[in-house]
Amino acid sequence: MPAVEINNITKIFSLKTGPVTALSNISFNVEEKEFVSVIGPSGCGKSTILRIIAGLLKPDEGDVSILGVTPLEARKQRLYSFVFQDPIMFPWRNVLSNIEIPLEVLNRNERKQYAGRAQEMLDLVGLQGFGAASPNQLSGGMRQRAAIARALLMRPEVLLMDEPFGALDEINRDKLNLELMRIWQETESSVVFITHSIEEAVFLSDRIIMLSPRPGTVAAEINIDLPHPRNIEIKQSEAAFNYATSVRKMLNQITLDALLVESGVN
Amino acid sequence: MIKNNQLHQTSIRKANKARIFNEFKNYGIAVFLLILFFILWQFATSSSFERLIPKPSTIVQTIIDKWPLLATNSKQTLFEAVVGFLIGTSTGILIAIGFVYSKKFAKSIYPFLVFLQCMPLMALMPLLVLWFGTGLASKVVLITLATFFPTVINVVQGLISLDKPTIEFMETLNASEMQIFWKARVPFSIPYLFTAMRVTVTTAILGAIISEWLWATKGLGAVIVLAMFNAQVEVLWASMALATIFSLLAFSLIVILEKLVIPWHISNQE
Repeated sequence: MPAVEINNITKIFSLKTGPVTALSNISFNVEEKEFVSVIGPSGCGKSTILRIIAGLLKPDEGDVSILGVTPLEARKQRLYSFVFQDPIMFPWRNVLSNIEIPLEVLNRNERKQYAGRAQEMLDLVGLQGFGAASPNQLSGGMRQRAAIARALLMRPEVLLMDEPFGALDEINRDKLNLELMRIWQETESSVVFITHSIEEAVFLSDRIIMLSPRPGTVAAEINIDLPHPRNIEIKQSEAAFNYATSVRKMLNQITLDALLVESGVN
Repeated sequence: MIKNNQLHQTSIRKANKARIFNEFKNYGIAVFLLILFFILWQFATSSSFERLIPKPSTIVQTIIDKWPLLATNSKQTLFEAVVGFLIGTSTGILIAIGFVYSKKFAKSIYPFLVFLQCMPLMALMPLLVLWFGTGLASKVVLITLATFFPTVINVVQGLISLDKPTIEFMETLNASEMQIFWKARVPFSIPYLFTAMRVTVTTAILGAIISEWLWATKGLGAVIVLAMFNAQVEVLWASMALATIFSLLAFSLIVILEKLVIPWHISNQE
Protein backbone atom coordinates (compact mmCIF):
# COMPACT_ATOMS: atom_id res chain seq x y z
CA MET A 1 0.00 0.00 0.00
CA PRO A 2 1.42 3.44 -0.87
CA ALA A 3 2.14 5.75 2.07
CA VAL A 4 0.35 8.59 0.35
CA GLU A 5 -2.03 8.25 -2.57
CA ILE A 6 -3.19 11.32 -4.47
CA ASN A 7 -5.92 10.80 -7.05
CA ASN A 8 -6.96 13.48 -9.54
CA ILE A 9 -6.88 16.39 -7.15
CA THR A 10 -8.35 19.66 -8.31
CA LYS A 11 -8.47 22.69 -6.05
CA ILE A 12 -10.21 25.94 -6.90
CA PHE A 13 -9.85 29.02 -4.71
CA SER A 14 -12.57 31.63 -4.94
CA LEU A 15 -10.81 34.96 -4.66
CA LYS A 16 -12.35 38.42 -4.87
CA THR A 17 -11.14 38.66 -8.46
CA GLY A 18 -12.89 35.38 -9.32
CA PRO A 19 -12.20 31.66 -9.07
CA VAL A 20 -8.60 30.54 -9.52
CA THR A 21 -7.69 26.95 -10.29
CA ALA A 22 -4.72 26.29 -8.02
CA LEU A 23 -4.33 22.59 -8.78
CA SER A 24 -5.65 20.66 -11.73
CA ASN A 25 -5.81 16.86 -11.92
CA ILE A 26 -2.82 16.11 -9.75
CA SER A 27 -2.06 12.44 -9.19
CA PHE A 28 0.99 10.80 -7.66
CA ASN A 29 1.86 8.27 -5.02
CA VAL A 30 4.50 8.18 -2.35
CA GLU A 31 5.63 4.65 -1.56
CA GLU A 32 6.50 3.48 1.92
CA LYS A 33 9.91 4.72 3.07
CA GLU A 34 10.21 6.86 -0.02
CA PHE A 35 11.42 10.47 0.04
CA VAL A 36 9.53 12.54 -2.50
CA SER A 37 10.09 16.24 -3.11
CA VAL A 38 7.59 18.50 -4.79
CA ILE A 39 9.27 21.35 -6.61
CA GLY A 40 8.04 24.09 -8.89
CA PRO A 41 8.00 27.84 -9.48
CA SER A 42 6.24 29.94 -6.88
CA GLY A 43 2.48 29.97 -7.26
CA CYS A 44 2.29 26.41 -8.54
CA GLY A 45 0.37 25.19 -5.48
CA LYS A 46 3.11 23.14 -3.80
CA SER A 47 1.98 24.05 -0.30
CA THR A 48 -1.65 23.57 -1.26
CA ILE A 49 -0.97 19.93 -2.14
CA LEU A 50 0.67 19.33 1.23
CA ARG A 51 -2.23 20.98 3.05
CA ILE A 52 -4.68 18.77 1.17
CA ILE A 53 -2.68 15.66 2.12
CA ALA A 54 -2.77 16.81 5.77
CA GLY A 55 -6.52 17.44 5.61
CA LEU A 56 -6.07 21.15 6.33
CA LEU A 57 -7.71 21.90 2.98
CA LYS A 58 -10.39 19.95 1.14
CA PRO A 59 -9.92 19.27 -2.58
CA ASP A 60 -12.78 20.24 -4.90
CA GLU A 61 -12.29 17.02 -6.82
CA GLY A 62 -10.35 13.85 -6.23
CA ASP A 63 -9.23 12.25 -3.03
CA VAL A 64 -6.21 11.61 -0.88
CA SER A 65 -5.36 8.74 1.40
CA ILE A 66 -2.56 8.14 3.86
CA LEU A 67 -1.85 4.42 4.32
CA GLY A 68 -5.31 3.71 3.00
CA VAL A 69 -7.28 6.04 5.27
CA THR A 70 -8.55 9.61 4.89
CA PRO A 71 -6.35 12.48 6.10
CA LEU A 72 -8.61 13.16 9.09
CA GLU A 73 -8.56 9.50 10.09
CA ALA A 74 -4.77 9.46 9.64
CA ARG A 75 -4.59 12.45 11.94
CA LYS A 76 -6.57 10.60 14.61
CA GLN A 77 -4.28 7.58 14.29
CA ARG A 78 -1.24 9.91 14.35
CA LEU A 79 0.06 8.49 11.09
CA TYR A 80 1.57 11.77 9.92
CA SER A 81 3.39 14.84 11.24
CA PHE A 82 3.60 18.24 9.62
CA VAL A 83 6.70 20.44 9.69
CA PHE A 84 6.02 24.05 8.78
CA GLN A 85 8.40 26.64 7.36
CA ASP A 86 8.03 28.47 10.67
CA PRO A 87 9.26 26.21 13.48
CA ILE A 88 6.24 27.26 15.66
CA MET A 89 7.74 27.31 19.13
CA PHE A 90 5.69 28.47 22.11
CA PRO A 91 7.96 30.99 23.86
CA TRP A 92 6.58 30.23 27.34
CA ARG A 93 7.75 26.61 27.07
CA ASN A 94 11.36 25.49 27.02
CA VAL A 95 12.70 23.54 24.07
CA LEU A 96 12.01 20.10 25.55
CA SER A 97 8.50 21.04 26.53
CA ASN A 98 7.91 22.45 23.03
CA ILE A 99 8.83 19.05 21.63
CA GLU A 100 6.22 17.56 23.95
CA ILE A 101 3.34 19.72 22.68
CA PRO A 102 1.86 16.82 20.64
CA LEU A 103 1.40 14.91 23.91
CA GLU A 104 -0.96 17.62 25.18
CA VAL A 105 -3.87 16.17 23.21
CA LEU A 106 -3.36 12.67 24.63
CA ASN A 107 -4.80 11.17 27.79
CA ARG A 108 -2.52 10.11 30.64
CA ASN A 109 -2.27 6.47 29.55
CA GLU A 110 -1.40 7.29 25.97
CA ARG A 111 1.21 9.75 27.19
CA LYS A 112 3.09 7.00 29.04
CA GLN A 113 4.08 5.38 25.76
CA TYR A 114 6.18 8.43 24.98
CA ALA A 115 7.98 8.85 28.30
CA GLY A 116 11.57 9.91 27.66
CA ARG A 117 10.93 10.01 23.96
CA ALA A 118 11.22 13.81 23.70
CA GLN A 119 14.72 13.70 25.17
CA GLU A 120 15.68 10.94 22.71
CA MET A 121 14.44 13.01 19.79
CA LEU A 122 16.27 16.06 21.10
CA ASP A 123 19.49 14.02 21.12
CA LEU A 124 18.72 12.62 17.69
CA VAL A 125 18.53 16.07 16.10
CA GLY A 126 21.74 17.17 17.84
CA LEU A 127 20.23 19.49 20.44
CA GLN A 128 21.47 17.64 23.53
CA GLY A 129 21.92 20.12 26.36
CA PHE A 130 19.39 22.58 24.96
CA GLY A 131 16.24 21.05 26.42
CA ALA A 132 15.97 23.60 29.20
CA ALA A 133 16.79 26.57 26.96
CA SER A 134 14.13 28.98 25.82
CA PRO A 135 13.34 28.75 22.10
CA ASN A 136 14.21 32.45 21.88
CA GLN A 137 17.82 31.59 22.73
CA LEU A 138 18.08 29.23 19.76
CA SER A 139 19.11 30.13 16.22
CA GLY A 140 16.68 29.65 13.37
CA GLY A 141 18.37 26.42 12.32
CA MET A 142 18.29 25.04 15.85
CA ARG A 143 14.60 25.90 16.22
CA GLN A 144 13.87 24.02 13.01
CA ARG A 145 15.81 21.02 14.35
CA ALA A 146 13.58 21.14 17.42
CA ALA A 147 10.52 21.25 15.16
CA ILE A 148 11.78 18.12 13.39
CA ALA A 149 12.34 16.42 16.74
CA ARG A 150 8.76 17.27 17.66
CA ALA A 151 7.46 15.91 14.36
CA LEU A 152 9.22 12.59 15.02
CA LEU A 153 7.98 12.33 18.61
CA MET A 154 5.01 10.07 17.92
CA ARG A 155 6.82 7.86 15.38
CA PRO A 156 4.78 9.00 12.37
CA GLU A 157 4.68 6.86 9.24
CA VAL A 158 4.58 9.92 7.05
CA LEU A 159 6.38 13.24 7.40
CA LEU A 160 4.91 16.21 5.56
CA MET A 161 7.46 19.03 5.31
CA ASP A 162 6.52 22.42 3.91
CA GLU A 163 9.74 24.21 2.95
CA PRO A 164 11.17 23.53 6.40
CA PHE A 165 14.52 25.12 5.55
CA GLY A 166 13.11 27.87 3.35
CA ALA A 167 13.84 30.62 5.85
CA LEU A 168 17.44 29.55 6.50
CA ASP A 169 20.60 30.79 4.83
CA GLU A 170 22.28 28.46 2.38
CA ILE A 171 25.05 27.35 4.75
CA ASN A 172 22.56 26.34 7.41
CA ARG A 173 20.30 24.75 4.84
CA ASP A 174 23.12 22.54 3.55
CA LYS A 175 23.97 21.51 7.08
CA LEU A 176 20.37 20.67 7.91
CA ASN A 177 19.96 18.73 4.65
CA LEU A 178 22.78 16.43 5.73
CA GLU A 179 21.27 16.19 9.21
CA LEU A 180 17.83 15.41 7.81
CA MET A 181 19.25 12.56 5.73
CA ARG A 182 21.01 11.14 8.78
CA ILE A 183 17.83 11.41 10.88
CA TRP A 184 15.59 10.07 8.15
CA GLN A 185 17.80 7.03 7.63
CA GLU A 186 17.27 6.23 11.31
CA THR A 187 13.50 6.69 11.27
CA GLU A 188 12.68 5.57 7.72
CA SER A 189 9.30 7.18 7.50
CA SER A 190 7.95 8.33 4.15
CA VAL A 191 8.49 12.00 3.41
CA VAL A 192 6.70 14.50 1.22
CA PHE A 193 8.99 17.49 1.05
CA ILE A 194 8.04 20.83 -0.47
CA THR A 195 10.92 23.00 -1.61
CA HIS A 196 11.99 25.55 -4.18
CA SER A 197 15.65 24.64 -3.89
CA ILE A 198 16.81 22.36 -6.70
CA GLU A 199 20.00 21.17 -4.96
CA GLU A 200 18.01 20.36 -1.85
CA ALA A 201 15.43 18.35 -3.81
CA VAL A 202 18.10 16.39 -5.70
CA PHE A 203 20.15 15.58 -2.63
CA LEU A 204 17.23 14.51 -0.43
CA SER A 205 14.84 12.76 -2.78
CA ASP A 206 14.26 9.38 -4.25
CA ARG A 207 11.89 11.07 -6.63
CA ILE A 208 11.05 14.65 -7.58
CA ILE A 209 7.58 15.72 -8.66
CA MET A 210 7.84 18.84 -10.75
CA LEU A 211 4.82 21.10 -10.97
CA SER A 212 3.99 23.71 -13.59
CA PRO A 213 2.19 26.85 -12.46
CA ARG A 214 -1.31 28.29 -12.95
CA PRO A 215 -2.95 25.86 -12.67
CA GLY A 216 -0.62 23.48 -10.89
CA THR A 217 -0.23 20.25 -12.83
CA VAL A 218 2.39 17.53 -12.66
CA ALA A 219 4.89 18.46 -15.38
CA ALA A 220 7.42 15.71 -14.77
CA GLU A 221 8.53 13.00 -12.39
CA ILE A 222 12.26 12.51 -12.02
CA ASN A 223 13.81 9.51 -10.28
CA ILE A 224 17.01 10.37 -8.48
CA ASP A 225 19.19 7.28 -8.53
CA LEU A 226 21.84 8.42 -6.12
CA PRO A 227 23.08 5.81 -3.64
CA HIS A 228 22.04 5.63 0.01
CA PRO A 229 23.03 6.61 2.63
CA ARG A 230 23.26 10.11 1.26
CA ASN A 231 26.24 11.98 2.64
CA ILE A 232 28.44 14.94 1.86
CA GLU A 233 30.33 13.04 -0.87
CA ILE A 234 27.12 12.31 -2.69
CA LYS A 235 25.99 15.90 -2.25
CA GLN A 236 29.18 17.04 -3.98
CA SER A 237 29.27 14.28 -6.60
CA GLU A 238 29.12 14.87 -10.33
CA ALA A 239 25.99 12.74 -10.55
CA ALA A 240 24.17 15.03 -8.13
CA PHE A 241 25.39 18.06 -10.06
CA ASN A 242 24.14 16.58 -13.34
CA TYR A 243 20.74 15.86 -11.85
CA ALA A 244 20.53 19.43 -10.55
CA THR A 245 21.45 20.81 -13.95
CA SER A 246 18.80 18.81 -15.78
CA VAL A 247 16.15 19.66 -13.17
CA ARG A 248 17.09 23.34 -13.47
CA LYS A 249 16.74 23.18 -17.28
CA MET A 250 13.30 21.60 -17.00
CA LEU A 251 12.17 24.16 -14.43
CA ASN A 252 13.35 27.04 -16.60
CA GLN A 253 11.48 25.61 -19.56
CA ILE A 254 8.30 25.26 -17.49
CA THR A 255 8.57 28.80 -16.16
CA LEU A 256 9.17 30.16 -19.63
CA ASP A 257 6.23 28.23 -21.10
CA ALA A 258 3.96 29.53 -18.36
CA LEU A 259 5.07 33.10 -19.07
CA LEU A 260 4.38 32.70 -22.77
CA VAL A 261 0.90 31.32 -22.10
CA GLU A 262 0.12 34.15 -19.72
CA SER A 263 1.22 36.84 -22.12
CA GLY A 264 -0.84 35.21 -24.89
CA VAL A 265 2.06 34.16 -27.13
CA ASN A 266 1.54 30.55 -28.12
CA MET B 1 28.42 22.07 21.70
CA ILE B 2 27.57 21.96 25.41
CA LYS B 3 30.80 23.77 26.25
CA ASN B 4 29.97 26.40 23.68
CA ASN B 5 26.59 26.77 25.23
CA GLN B 6 28.11 27.43 28.66
CA LEU B 7 30.45 30.03 27.19
CA HIS B 8 27.45 31.55 25.54
CA GLN B 9 25.60 31.62 28.86
CA THR B 10 28.44 33.49 30.60
CA SER B 11 28.57 36.12 27.90
CA ILE B 12 24.79 36.48 28.13
CA ARG B 13 25.17 37.01 31.87
CA LYS B 14 27.86 39.63 31.30
CA ALA B 15 25.66 41.43 28.80
CA ASN B 16 22.78 41.30 31.27
CA LYS B 17 24.90 42.86 34.00
CA ALA B 18 25.95 45.68 31.69
CA ARG B 19 22.32 46.24 30.74
CA ILE B 20 21.12 46.36 34.34
CA PHE B 21 23.89 48.85 35.17
CA ASN B 22 22.88 51.03 32.23
CA GLU B 23 19.26 50.89 33.26
CA PHE B 24 20.24 51.84 36.81
CA LYS B 25 22.18 54.79 35.40
CA ASN B 26 19.09 55.91 33.50
CA TYR B 27 16.85 55.57 36.54
CA GLY B 28 19.52 57.34 38.58
CA ILE B 29 19.13 60.43 36.42
CA ALA B 30 15.35 60.30 36.76
CA VAL B 31 15.56 59.98 40.54
CA PHE B 32 18.06 62.83 40.72
CA LEU B 33 15.79 65.09 38.64
CA LEU B 34 12.80 64.19 40.81
CA ILE B 35 14.68 65.05 44.02
CA LEU B 36 15.89 68.29 42.46
CA PHE B 37 12.29 69.11 41.52
CA PHE B 38 11.07 68.61 45.08
CA ILE B 39 13.96 70.66 46.53
CA LEU B 40 13.21 73.52 44.15
CA TRP B 41 9.53 73.27 45.00
CA GLN B 42 10.36 73.30 48.74
CA PHE B 43 12.38 76.51 48.53
CA ALA B 44 10.51 78.28 45.74
CA THR B 45 7.20 78.26 47.57
CA SER B 46 6.91 81.62 49.30
CA SER B 47 4.64 82.14 52.27
CA SER B 48 2.09 84.16 50.26
CA PHE B 49 1.90 81.38 47.73
CA GLU B 50 1.61 78.63 50.27
CA ARG B 51 -2.13 79.09 50.62
CA LEU B 52 -2.56 77.43 47.23
CA ILE B 53 0.62 75.40 46.73
CA PRO B 54 2.01 74.14 50.03
CA LYS B 55 5.61 73.05 50.43
CA PRO B 56 6.26 69.30 49.95
CA SER B 57 7.24 69.12 53.62
CA THR B 58 3.83 70.52 54.61
CA ILE B 59 2.09 67.91 52.46
CA VAL B 60 4.09 65.11 54.06
CA GLN B 61 3.38 66.57 57.51
CA THR B 62 -0.35 66.69 56.69
CA ILE B 63 -0.34 63.06 55.58
CA ILE B 64 1.27 62.13 58.92
CA ASP B 65 -1.05 64.34 61.02
CA LYS B 66 -4.24 63.24 59.28
CA TRP B 67 -3.15 59.62 58.84
CA PRO B 68 -6.12 58.00 60.65
CA LEU B 69 -8.61 59.95 58.51
CA LEU B 70 -6.69 59.45 55.27
CA ALA B 71 -6.01 55.78 55.93
CA THR B 72 -9.65 54.76 56.53
CA ASN B 73 -10.83 56.73 53.51
CA SER B 74 -8.02 55.39 51.32
CA LYS B 75 -9.00 51.89 52.29
CA GLN B 76 -12.55 52.61 51.11
CA THR B 77 -11.37 54.05 47.80
CA LEU B 78 -8.94 51.21 47.15
CA PHE B 79 -11.60 48.65 47.98
CA GLU B 80 -13.98 50.19 45.42
CA ALA B 81 -11.20 50.38 42.84
CA VAL B 82 -10.13 46.75 43.35
CA VAL B 83 -13.70 45.38 43.21
CA GLY B 84 -14.55 47.48 40.14
CA PHE B 85 -11.27 46.55 38.45
CA LEU B 86 -11.76 42.84 39.05
CA ILE B 87 -15.37 42.86 37.83
CA GLY B 88 -14.53 45.08 34.85
CA THR B 89 -11.55 42.97 33.83
CA SER B 90 -13.33 39.64 34.16
CA THR B 91 -16.44 40.88 32.33
CA GLY B 92 -14.13 42.26 29.65
CA ILE B 93 -12.38 38.91 29.25
CA LEU B 94 -15.69 37.03 29.00
CA ILE B 95 -17.11 39.43 26.42
CA ALA B 96 -13.84 39.23 24.45
CA ILE B 97 -14.11 35.43 24.33
CA GLY B 98 -17.71 35.75 23.16
CA PHE B 99 -16.54 38.18 20.49
CA VAL B 100 -13.94 35.81 19.12
CA TYR B 101 -16.16 32.74 19.07
CA SER B 102 -19.39 34.24 17.76
CA LYS B 103 -19.43 36.72 14.89
CA LYS B 104 -23.14 37.27 15.56
CA PHE B 105 -22.44 38.16 19.18
CA ALA B 106 -19.63 40.46 18.13
CA LYS B 107 -21.74 42.25 15.55
CA SER B 108 -24.72 42.72 17.84
CA ILE B 109 -22.76 43.80 20.92
CA TYR B 110 -20.03 45.95 19.40
CA PRO B 111 -22.23 49.01 18.63
CA PHE B 112 -23.38 49.06 22.25
CA LEU B 113 -19.82 48.90 23.47
CA VAL B 114 -18.77 51.82 21.28
CA PHE B 115 -21.86 53.72 22.41
CA LEU B 116 -20.97 53.08 26.02
CA GLN B 117 -17.36 54.07 25.47
CA CYS B 118 -18.41 57.34 23.84
CA MET B 119 -20.78 58.23 26.64
CA PRO B 120 -19.08 60.54 29.15
CA LEU B 121 -19.13 58.24 32.15
CA MET B 122 -18.88 61.13 34.61
CA ALA B 123 -22.19 62.41 33.31
CA LEU B 124 -23.64 58.99 33.96
CA MET B 125 -22.63 59.05 37.61
CA PRO B 126 -25.70 60.92 38.96
CA LEU B 127 -27.92 58.36 37.22
CA LEU B 128 -25.91 55.51 38.70
CA VAL B 129 -26.36 57.05 42.14
CA LEU B 130 -30.13 57.22 41.56
CA TRP B 131 -30.23 53.61 40.37
CA PHE B 132 -27.76 51.95 42.72
CA GLY B 133 -27.72 54.29 45.72
CA THR B 134 -24.87 56.22 47.27
CA GLY B 135 -23.08 53.10 48.53
CA LEU B 136 -20.52 50.78 47.01
CA ALA B 137 -22.69 49.54 44.10
CA SER B 138 -22.87 52.77 42.06
CA LYS B 139 -19.10 53.25 42.29
CA VAL B 140 -18.30 49.69 41.34
CA VAL B 141 -20.64 49.95 38.35
CA LEU B 142 -18.90 53.12 37.18
CA ILE B 143 -15.43 51.59 37.53
CA THR B 144 -16.58 48.42 35.79
CA LEU B 145 -17.92 50.45 32.88
CA ALA B 146 -14.70 52.45 32.69
CA THR B 147 -12.36 49.47 32.79
CA PHE B 148 -14.01 46.77 30.73
CA PHE B 149 -13.88 48.43 27.31
CA PRO B 150 -10.06 48.60 27.07
CA THR B 151 -10.00 45.01 28.32
CA VAL B 152 -12.38 43.81 25.60
CA ILE B 153 -10.49 45.57 22.82
CA ASN B 154 -7.08 44.29 23.92
CA VAL B 155 -8.08 40.74 24.76
CA VAL B 156 -9.94 40.37 21.45
CA GLN B 157 -6.77 41.54 19.71
CA GLY B 158 -4.80 38.99 21.70
CA LEU B 159 -7.16 36.08 21.05
CA ILE B 160 -7.22 36.68 17.31
CA SER B 161 -3.46 37.25 17.13
CA LEU B 162 -2.82 33.52 16.91
CA ASP B 163 -1.30 33.05 13.46
CA LYS B 164 -2.60 30.61 10.89
CA PRO B 165 0.40 28.23 10.89
CA THR B 166 0.03 27.78 14.66
CA ILE B 167 -3.66 26.95 14.28
CA GLU B 168 -2.85 24.54 11.45
CA PHE B 169 -0.09 23.00 13.56
CA MET B 170 -2.53 22.39 16.41
CA GLU B 171 -5.06 20.96 13.93
CA THR B 172 -2.55 18.46 12.57
CA LEU B 173 -2.03 17.30 16.17
CA ASN B 174 -5.75 16.51 16.22
CA ALA B 175 -6.28 19.19 18.88
CA SER B 176 -9.88 20.17 19.59
CA GLU B 177 -11.12 23.75 19.44
CA MET B 178 -10.99 23.81 23.25
CA GLN B 179 -7.41 22.55 23.32
CA ILE B 180 -6.33 25.16 20.75
CA PHE B 181 -8.02 27.78 22.93
CA TRP B 182 -6.36 26.80 26.20
CA LYS B 183 -2.97 25.66 24.95
CA ALA B 184 -2.31 28.38 22.39
CA ARG B 185 -4.86 31.18 22.19
CA VAL B 186 -4.97 31.98 25.88
CA PRO B 187 -1.21 32.06 26.54
CA PHE B 188 -0.60 34.16 23.42
CA SER B 189 -3.29 36.65 24.52
CA ILE B 190 -2.02 37.21 28.06
CA PRO B 191 0.47 39.96 27.06
CA TYR B 192 -2.50 41.85 25.57
CA LEU B 193 -4.44 41.47 28.80
CA PHE B 194 -1.53 43.01 30.67
CA THR B 195 -1.45 45.94 28.25
CA ALA B 196 -5.11 46.52 29.09
CA MET B 197 -4.54 46.19 32.83
CA ARG B 198 -1.70 48.74 32.83
CA VAL B 199 -4.25 51.26 31.57
CA THR B 200 -7.32 50.16 33.52
CA VAL B 201 -5.67 49.82 36.91
CA THR B 202 -5.08 53.59 37.09
CA THR B 203 -8.48 54.24 35.54
CA ALA B 204 -10.02 52.23 38.37
CA ILE B 205 -8.46 54.43 41.06
CA LEU B 206 -9.37 57.59 39.18
CA GLY B 207 -12.93 56.30 38.73
CA ALA B 208 -13.23 55.49 42.43
CA ILE B 209 -12.16 58.99 43.52
CA ILE B 210 -14.33 60.84 41.04
CA SER B 211 -17.38 58.70 41.78
CA GLU B 212 -17.00 59.64 45.45
CA TRP B 213 -17.43 63.31 44.63
CA LEU B 214 -21.17 62.80 44.52
CA TRP B 215 -22.94 62.16 47.81
CA ALA B 216 -20.22 59.94 49.18
CA THR B 217 -19.38 60.13 52.86
CA LYS B 218 -16.38 57.84 52.71
CA GLY B 219 -13.34 57.62 50.47
CA LEU B 220 -10.53 59.88 49.27
CA GLY B 221 -12.94 61.59 46.88
CA ALA B 222 -15.22 62.53 49.77
CA VAL B 223 -12.21 63.84 51.73
CA ILE B 224 -11.20 65.96 48.74
CA VAL B 225 -14.67 67.49 48.39
CA LEU B 226 -14.90 68.20 52.11
CA ALA B 227 -11.41 69.75 52.18
CA MET B 228 -12.33 71.94 49.23
CA PHE B 229 -15.42 73.33 50.97
CA ASN B 230 -13.45 73.92 54.15
CA ALA B 231 -10.57 75.48 52.19
CA GLN B 232 -8.11 72.94 53.66
CA VAL B 233 -5.65 73.19 50.79
CA GLU B 234 -3.01 71.01 52.43
CA VAL B 235 -5.56 68.18 52.91
CA LEU B 236 -6.44 68.44 49.23
CA TRP B 237 -2.78 68.09 48.34
CA ALA B 238 -2.26 65.27 50.79
CA SER B 239 -5.18 63.30 49.29
CA MET B 240 -3.90 63.94 45.80
CA ALA B 241 -0.40 62.82 46.75
CA LEU B 242 -1.79 59.63 48.29
CA ALA B 243 -3.98 58.90 45.25
CA THR B 244 -0.94 59.33 42.99
CA ILE B 245 1.12 57.01 45.16
CA PHE B 246 -1.63 54.38 45.07
CA SER B 247 -1.90 54.63 41.29
CA LEU B 248 1.86 54.31 40.96
CA LEU B 249 1.92 51.28 43.26
CA ALA B 250 -0.99 49.65 41.44
CA PHE B 251 0.70 50.23 38.10
CA SER B 252 4.00 48.84 39.40
CA LEU B 253 2.18 45.82 40.77
CA ILE B 254 0.81 45.07 37.31
CA VAL B 255 4.26 45.52 35.75
CA ILE B 256 5.86 43.19 38.31
CA LEU B 257 3.07 40.66 37.82
CA GLU B 258 3.65 40.89 34.08
CA LYS B 259 7.33 40.09 34.48
CA LEU B 260 6.45 37.10 36.66
CA VAL B 261 3.62 35.71 34.55
CA ILE B 262 4.99 36.25 31.06
CA PRO B 263 8.78 36.41 31.37
CA TRP B 264 8.92 34.91 27.87
CA HIS B 265 7.30 37.93 26.25
CA ILE B 266 9.48 40.23 24.13
CA SER B 267 8.55 43.27 26.23
CA ASN B 268 10.26 41.62 29.21
CA GLN B 269 13.45 40.66 27.45
CA GLU B 270 14.97 43.92 26.25
